[in-house]
Amino acid sequence: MNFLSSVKFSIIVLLLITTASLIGTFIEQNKASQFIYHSFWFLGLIILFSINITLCTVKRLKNITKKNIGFLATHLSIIVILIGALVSITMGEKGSLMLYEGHSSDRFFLSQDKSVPLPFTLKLNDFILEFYNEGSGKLLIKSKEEKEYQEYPINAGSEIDYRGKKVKILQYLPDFEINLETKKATSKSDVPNNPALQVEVVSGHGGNRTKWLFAKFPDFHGKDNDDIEMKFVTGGGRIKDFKSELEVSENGKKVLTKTIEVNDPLTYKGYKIYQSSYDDQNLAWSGLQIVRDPGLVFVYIGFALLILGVVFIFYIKPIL
Amino acid sequence: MESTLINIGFVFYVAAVILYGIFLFGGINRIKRFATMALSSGFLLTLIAYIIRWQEAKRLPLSNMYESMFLFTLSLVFFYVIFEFKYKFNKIGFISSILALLLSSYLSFLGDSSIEPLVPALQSNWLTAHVVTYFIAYGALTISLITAIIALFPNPREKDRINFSNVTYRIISFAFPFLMMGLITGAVWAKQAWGDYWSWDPKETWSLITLFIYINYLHLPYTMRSALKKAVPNKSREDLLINIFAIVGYFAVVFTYFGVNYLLAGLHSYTN
Repeated sequence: MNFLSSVKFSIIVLLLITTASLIGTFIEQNKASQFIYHSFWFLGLIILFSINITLCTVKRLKNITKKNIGFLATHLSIIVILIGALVSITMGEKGSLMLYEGHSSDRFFLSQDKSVPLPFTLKLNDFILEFYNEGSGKLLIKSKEEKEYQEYPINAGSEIDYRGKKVKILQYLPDFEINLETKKATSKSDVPNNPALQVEVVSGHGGNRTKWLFAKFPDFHGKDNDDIEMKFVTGGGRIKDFKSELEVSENGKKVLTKTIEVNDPLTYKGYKIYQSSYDDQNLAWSGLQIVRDPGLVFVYIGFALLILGVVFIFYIKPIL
Repeated sequence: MESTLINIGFVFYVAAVILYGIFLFGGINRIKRFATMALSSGFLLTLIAYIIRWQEAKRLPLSNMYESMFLFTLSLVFFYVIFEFKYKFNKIGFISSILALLLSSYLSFLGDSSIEPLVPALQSNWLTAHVVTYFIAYGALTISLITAIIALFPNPREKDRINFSNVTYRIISFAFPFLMMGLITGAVWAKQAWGDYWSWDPKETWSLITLFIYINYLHLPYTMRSALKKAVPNKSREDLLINIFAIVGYFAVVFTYFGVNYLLAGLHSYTN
């Protein structure tokens, strides 16, 4: 019994847990979870560790002094965190939901085939994808006699002077198509599937020519009797943000709307809804992660107590 | 401007290595202060370069390998200078400035210094707390690695004045709460970002392994009678074990920082 509550034992158990965790990082993550982190023997090690910490702490709880308070805070906090984790695992729910724009659901999926109800209805009003502007690319210009293209950054409305010739940048569309009704050029979506740049060449002989340049079709330039050649090159199109505008309703009445993004979930009735992924081909659906975690409050109290404890032991106690 | 300062800083680190080397191997005491000056100047230039990058990027630079190495350089040199000042011991200046020089050469010649916008997952205030606490810990722990190694070797003259096992313990004690806070801020951020404070991904698991090793290190003296105490001037087997733990702990730090990104795959691999 004395051994179970000893520091020696804690070092041994911790070493065993460390070794097992270490091995787990070298195998594929799903297998690691299955065979190590969620295995019975690993759980057994955690239980031994919990017993050890509980015994040590209880032994010292009889004696709460200025000297002991840091020890009690740190070790108690670990017990609280472990209890919180246990509550999360046994009483919590974690799953996902793929919602199409305009669609709603009152259930979500814990796994491929198992779905559970939500105490409310969730609707995806809109999914938004934003890009950083700087990625829209470069305009390459060269005259027919030259060998190399000159590079220019793309800023809508700006005018480039290429050896006396003026080229004006009119507009950029990420997913170019000609609208069959209005016969006007529009962007089909926000995804840069067919990036196009509209430029205007100021011709010295009077008359300006407007043309479209396509990043994916550099040779498509229609009739071209300018003495300059131009190419539009895209530079990456880095994603700035992806968000979902969600609407929560109960019994047909709208209760809450919120636009969620990574790092900013929606909270309602103990459920938290996270922006997890999205349809990167057509932007048709948004991937949500839905979690109900009743143990979280214990884990966070444990975290706070742990931080206070270590700060006390290592920074405050030495100067008391 | 930023890269010019980094390059000049590099030159100062070279000077520091040479000057500390002359002091260490040539025994010329008078040169100590110039070595410290060279190293400190290198630090100041690196710091100013970092602030300039901060202004240009409009966010604290800590989002990729380049920026984290930048922060690591600052942390390492900062804690070395504090150590030197506190213990009035300059001999590990040589190895410390070599480390600073290696990091600085990465910043000057090998690393990609372009400022990239943040991917959505990193757009959070937790990024700052999480990365800064970790790099404060890493810088200090690097010094503890050096003192732990010295503690393994007999050197009676210095050991009368400084108990390197003890110094190692004190440095690790200082760094430990930061290591802990790094882990906790990471977990709270993970919960905020994808709904789970722990998913046993390699980076998380290795940061826990690192923490466990240092927790064991801190507890070891409680199982031993004479460990760390000045009363036992010769290298005892207890001190040997403790310092080996400190060194193994640092291997875990290095693996957590680099090994996971380059040798394993997971959620954290985008931080390259």
